[in-house]
Amino acid sequence: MTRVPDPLVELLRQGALDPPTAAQVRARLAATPDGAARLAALDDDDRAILAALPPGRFAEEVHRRSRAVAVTAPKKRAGWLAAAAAATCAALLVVVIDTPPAERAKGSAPTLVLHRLVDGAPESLPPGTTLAAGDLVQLSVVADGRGFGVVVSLDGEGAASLHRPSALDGDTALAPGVHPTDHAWEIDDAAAFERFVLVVDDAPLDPRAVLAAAKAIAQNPLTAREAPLAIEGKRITQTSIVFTKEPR
Amino acid sequence: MSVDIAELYRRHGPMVLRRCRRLLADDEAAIDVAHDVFVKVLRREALLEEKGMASYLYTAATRECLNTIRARNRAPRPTEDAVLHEIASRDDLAAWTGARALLARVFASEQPSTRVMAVLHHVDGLTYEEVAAVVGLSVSGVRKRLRVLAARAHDVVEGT
Repeated sequence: MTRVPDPLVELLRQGALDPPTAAQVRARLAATPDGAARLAALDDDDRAILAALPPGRFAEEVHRRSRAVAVTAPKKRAGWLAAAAAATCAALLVVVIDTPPAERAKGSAPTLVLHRLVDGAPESLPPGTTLAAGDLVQLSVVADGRGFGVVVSLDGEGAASLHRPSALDGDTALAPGVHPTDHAWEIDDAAAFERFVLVVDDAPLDPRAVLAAAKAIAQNPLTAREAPLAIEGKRITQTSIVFTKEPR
Repeated sequence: MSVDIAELYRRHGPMVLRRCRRLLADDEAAIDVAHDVFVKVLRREALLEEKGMASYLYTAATRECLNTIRARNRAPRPTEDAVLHEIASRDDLAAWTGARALLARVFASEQPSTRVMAVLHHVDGLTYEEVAAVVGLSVSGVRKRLRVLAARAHDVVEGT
């Protein structure tokens, strides 16, 4: 007798199966040596989960995340998009193995710069260049002299990723100049667009908070392309580059 | 339907969290995604009914976990030493990279709901009828989606 699949057992316990299917699953469980023990173990696990993560605390966090999505209604903000990144663009490019630091005028807005690796060499991409699935892309952060920066991305299917620093507990310090990330990405074609966001502040940033804010935005397809991340900070600035993907 | 998240979590939350743990193999990530699943419930509370809530939450958890896994897989390629170590440590590099690339191409243009059905059928081992019972589609609808997916997989493999 094969093991009864977990989804069926879970939904049986929830009373979510139609009567004939429920009867079949009960019969299969009764016919397996550990059927009763399995159900008892799930009861125990329910109690353990609710004790470790109580409903009130869980609901509080859900409502907090929901409010974070609600406050980011799309609206224009002067200077929110950096001059060097197009307000809307259909290109993404990346891949730079090494970029020498560039002179930056103090007080210029921080920006994201994108390159693509072509035949082993980096190619700078102007706004408007179209990217295809499979393209290798690398980001560089052009810092304006303020101390700390985090780069995240979000796509049209609700996914969000951290790009700089490379770890959730990584250092967000940002010296003036150009800082390529230490890795490249291969563009997939699983979502209609990809948006990179650079968050800069005078004070240290928490990559976890920035990524959580990006995930909250990504949940809402109506705002994911444009809405600013709900991040608190005295001198927070956000820079975005959005591109649409062209499948192979 | 007006949603009491705390009550909903009490009744269905452990099931959601177990599903996330099973698919993500990471407790912290599972708790994170479980919260996101219930955020989606809040956003859709005007459209949801109590009947079918458990099935909705189960499929939503599966879908959110697949999104998380896909985001992980988009993680940047390491360079230099880390890449060399990865290559050196894999005896089946050609097969591994090939299989990953093929799966990515097969699933790239599929609807999220099809991916959920594929996980239920190919990973969890449910029959077409059982998948239909979980996702709330007709058996013929499930069969058609998974056959189209299988045909696409065949085309991708034949094209390599």
